[in-house]
Amino acid sequence: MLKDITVGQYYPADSPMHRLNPRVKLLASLAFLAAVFIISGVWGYALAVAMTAAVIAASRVPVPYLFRGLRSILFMLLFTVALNVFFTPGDDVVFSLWGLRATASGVAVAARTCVRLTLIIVGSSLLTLTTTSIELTDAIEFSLKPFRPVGVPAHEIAMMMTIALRFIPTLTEELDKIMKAQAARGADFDTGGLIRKAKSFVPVLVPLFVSAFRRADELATAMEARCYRGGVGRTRMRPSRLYRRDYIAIVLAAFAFTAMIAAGRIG
Amino acid sequence: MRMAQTLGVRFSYTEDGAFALDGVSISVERGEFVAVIGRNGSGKSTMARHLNALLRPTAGTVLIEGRDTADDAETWEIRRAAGMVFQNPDNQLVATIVEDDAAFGPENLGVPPEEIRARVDKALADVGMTEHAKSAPHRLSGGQKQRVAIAGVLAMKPDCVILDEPTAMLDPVGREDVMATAERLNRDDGITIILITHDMDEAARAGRVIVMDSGRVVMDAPPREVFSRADELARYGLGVPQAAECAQALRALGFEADPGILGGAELAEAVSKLRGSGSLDADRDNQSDI
Repeated sequence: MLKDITVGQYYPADSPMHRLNPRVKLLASLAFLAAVFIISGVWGYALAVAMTAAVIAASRVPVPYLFRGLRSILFMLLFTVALNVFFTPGDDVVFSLWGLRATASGVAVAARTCVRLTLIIVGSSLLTLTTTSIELTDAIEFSLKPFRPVGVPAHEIAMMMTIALRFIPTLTEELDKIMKAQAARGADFDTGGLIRKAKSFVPVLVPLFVSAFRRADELATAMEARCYRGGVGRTRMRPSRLYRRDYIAIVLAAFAFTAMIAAGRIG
Repeated sequence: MRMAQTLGVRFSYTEDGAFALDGVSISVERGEFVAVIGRNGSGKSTMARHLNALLRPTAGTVLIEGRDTADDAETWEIRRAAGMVFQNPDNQLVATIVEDDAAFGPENLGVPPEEIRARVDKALADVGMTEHAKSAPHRLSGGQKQRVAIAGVLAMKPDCVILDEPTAMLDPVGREDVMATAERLNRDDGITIILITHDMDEAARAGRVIVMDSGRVVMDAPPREVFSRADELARYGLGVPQAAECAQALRALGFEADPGILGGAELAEAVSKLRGSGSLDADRDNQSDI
């Protein structure tokens, strides 16, 4: 299960999406997330899904790989769906189960929420799957720059996020190792109620945190040894430049978002 | 000018505590390959951290190419000149792809983009990682990660590379990878190598071995000389390379074996000479004890 998290991982490939300017990708992703909340109506959603499918195709990330990431939020998705189906008020009862009445409007809300959540997860995964963390840092730093005068540490935030992304696989592996080590000592993670299960994770999380702090300390030393001293005077191996393809992408994205929102108004 | 020089360096991690370094004076010339050995807590890693201004002496002076590590203004030039590779390959790679990680150092130094590109390509080629330039670090083996870490240092165009137990967490193949890379850099590019290690066979490959114990330098000589003094090394909790140990055992049995034997090839030669001289037959009784 832990190996299935694809959010925040980079998928190395050479595709039009990978080559796109990271700043364009980040801003387009943010606009997409906003659009997903604005759209309404079947046509709006259909367009959003079609657009996502097109981007997936352009990214050359294998679809099964991408959707493996969804498995980890399946529970949350089902929970939200169930909640919406059964607890949306209305008189148009479709069916009832154990005395709970499912309303037609409830089913509609559930479907919408389900599609929205999926689009959000897939949309943000696509950003990190096609963008290396250093590119992402640059894009985040760029988008936060306007807020620097009001005290937002743009470079530091960006660096923090990069390192977090870099260490997701490492810590995931470590968590797996600790769980196996504790299981070998007789720990039981699968039985008992919620509280018991949560308690059984204490002997896993404590060593994980201790190790994360130790890693943080070592990494900080290694970064200092490589002359890291914050964002001042830093250059980039790949300076962010806008090419023709980036302008095309901006125009395409603007059209797509407008169409998505407009389609919702009509339908 | 000397690559690195320490003059009576004392260092304590705590205000009142014992000295982790207690009067260390060594000098490393340009182009040398120096191994530093010593048991745990002997101060060898603490010493390494002084050589690139990660730690500063409580007393005494550390000079890197004549620059004083106590001088704040020189810190970055010192860290560029004396790059450092650490023990744990996972905890020193910053980026999610190999070539971006190699670019981290020169980016910090403010090198122009085209030159960073050229340096990264060369550094990755130097450590034989060009084909993995676009890979994610967590997909590489330990030895490969350590070579990426070395490339990250090389991209800063250092004059000296300090390796702090770089092979401690690696398998035999990874160890040989890292050692061969260090030797090649020393031989072909004239980069000074300071190797902190626990492995006597690795130390035997250096041009000079410094032995540390309780924060002091207790031996400083070519490997042949250091490892011929096995009894003294045992006092510092250290052994000798396998081949030397074997040669020593042969000597104890009355065979002729040079005390300077360090490598497998030398040992093999010595043993083959024994057979030629017929002494193996003469000492057949002893041989059975080996």
